[in-house]
Amino acid sequence: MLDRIFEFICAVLMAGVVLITTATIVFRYILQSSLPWSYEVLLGLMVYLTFFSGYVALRQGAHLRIDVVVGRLPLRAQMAVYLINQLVVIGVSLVMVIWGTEQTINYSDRFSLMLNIPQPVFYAVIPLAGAAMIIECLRQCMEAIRGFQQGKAPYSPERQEGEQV
Amino acid sequence: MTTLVLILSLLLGSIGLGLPIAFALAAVSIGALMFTGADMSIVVQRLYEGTNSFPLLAVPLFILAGTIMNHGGISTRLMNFARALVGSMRGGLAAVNVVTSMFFAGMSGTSMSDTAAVGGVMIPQMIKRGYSPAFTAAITASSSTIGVIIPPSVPMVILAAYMGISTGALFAAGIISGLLLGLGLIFVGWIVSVKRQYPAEEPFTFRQATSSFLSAAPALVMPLIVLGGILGGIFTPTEASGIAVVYGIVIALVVYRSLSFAKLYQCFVESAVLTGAVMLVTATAHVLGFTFTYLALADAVLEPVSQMEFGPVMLLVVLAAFLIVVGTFLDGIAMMFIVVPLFLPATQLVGIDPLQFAMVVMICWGIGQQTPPVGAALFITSVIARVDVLRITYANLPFIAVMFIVLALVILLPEWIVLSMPRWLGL
Repeated sequence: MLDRIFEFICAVLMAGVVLITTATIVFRYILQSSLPWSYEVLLGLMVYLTFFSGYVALRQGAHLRIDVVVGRLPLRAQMAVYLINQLVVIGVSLVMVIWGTEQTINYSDRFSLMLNIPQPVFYAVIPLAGAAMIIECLRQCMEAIRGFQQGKAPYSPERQEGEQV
Repeated sequence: MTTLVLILSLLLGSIGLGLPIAFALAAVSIGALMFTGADMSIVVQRLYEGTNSFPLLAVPLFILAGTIMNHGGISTRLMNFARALVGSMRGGLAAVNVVTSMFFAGMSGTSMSDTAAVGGVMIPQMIKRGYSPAFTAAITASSSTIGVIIPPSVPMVILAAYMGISTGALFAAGIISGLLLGLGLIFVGWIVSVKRQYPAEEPFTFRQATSSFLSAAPALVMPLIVLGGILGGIFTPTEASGIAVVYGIVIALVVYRSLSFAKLYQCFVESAVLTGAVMLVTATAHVLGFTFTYLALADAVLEPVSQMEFGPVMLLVVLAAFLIVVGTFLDGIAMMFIVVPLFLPATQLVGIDPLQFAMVVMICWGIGQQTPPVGAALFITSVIARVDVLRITYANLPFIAVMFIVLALVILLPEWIVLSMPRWLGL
């Protein structure tokens, strides 16, 4: 259920980028005028798309990674590497939360040029995504430990790399 | 120098051990910056600035356009047209494979959607017609590399934004190399086919060519709009990517009726998640780039270059060797973001054109996709053709040689191969 909602938000962000980009083109080339607000909204959407979808990609295990090597390690070693890796992800997310919040608060008196949107609106997605990533990582760790007790490897050998560009 | 070696080994080691690339770039930078006592809020600022960029908007849009084409049944029509054009050659299907990849490359921005779409249809057909599975997989993998080099290309958008150069100019710079690469692959495929007596398909007829052209025409208009618009200076690459999406939706939904709304929704979700994965790497790469500058790590390359009077050619050869070695173990995007900030200052010192530098990176990206243990194109084709990766690599050697020849041309003749197109178009 939660996954469905998150996927929907991803699709909406993507659709927003498509619609506004199209609208600016229509305005610029057909109506010969401009949409001055579109620039800010598009950049905001881009930031949200990156960090929110980045979080969803973490949920789906879609982040680019190379697990041909770890996939061949014995079960125990795999589990150890997996936990260390998750710990590193949590560490990075923690930096996003702590200093992202600081940044958001520091910019609370700044506004965007065209639309007067408070800057924290743009920045807030970083600490929020960081917090969500920490929760997700902990959940994945619990799942992996449960799987480990049943003899399941965290890096399954049949899974190759994530989809790439 | 020791700091550089330490940081590079940490990056390679952690990525090699399965840490997602985005987090590896971020974690190593955060560690290094913390160690030197830098303010951590710079990390968040760099993450933000790494995504808050107008040219990068083309990334989600080109990814979406590629996904829609992939699901929209456009590849079959392109293939039929390619078959009518070059199928009559000896080893016709091998040439069709390359030509379809070239059409595809002109529309989608990603080479993986290209490999999956073309390979999924071509590989079974070629094996059925008697081509060896290893050769089939090899030509599919190597021709998909064209997707990185013929514009539009998502890796080019990312690199241009990172280097602060014009995306349109880099697109233009890739055209000649992309065409040379395509022709080279067709030529090598033809030689192998003649030697092994692979079959030719039905002879060329004008009628077949026109009818398949008409069926593919709505799809073929897309690269015309996208490339013509960008190269003619009418649209920005971001606008062109938006047009590609809307046009792709119209074609798939209305003209070919090959896409349902439910599937279209799936395309949006799929591309958004892929965008998240790619863009998070791009964002964390900005943190890494800052770390390299902050610790003056590029000096390790800069100093020998300034002292020993490294010529531009020598420097590019070293760069290419470095990229290929790193690209063998890492995937393209990680390779690019680790190597580019190290070499960029030195190339500027020697006076290498940023477009030439970028093209060397792009072709090495393509070569990196072909080499095990980490080669995305190889894995996809090996799964479809059911051959192991090493046998594909062996069959792939002549095709990889073509890439090296194009790389050499880019390094030795930049005026002709790289810079002539952007200059001619005034980009």
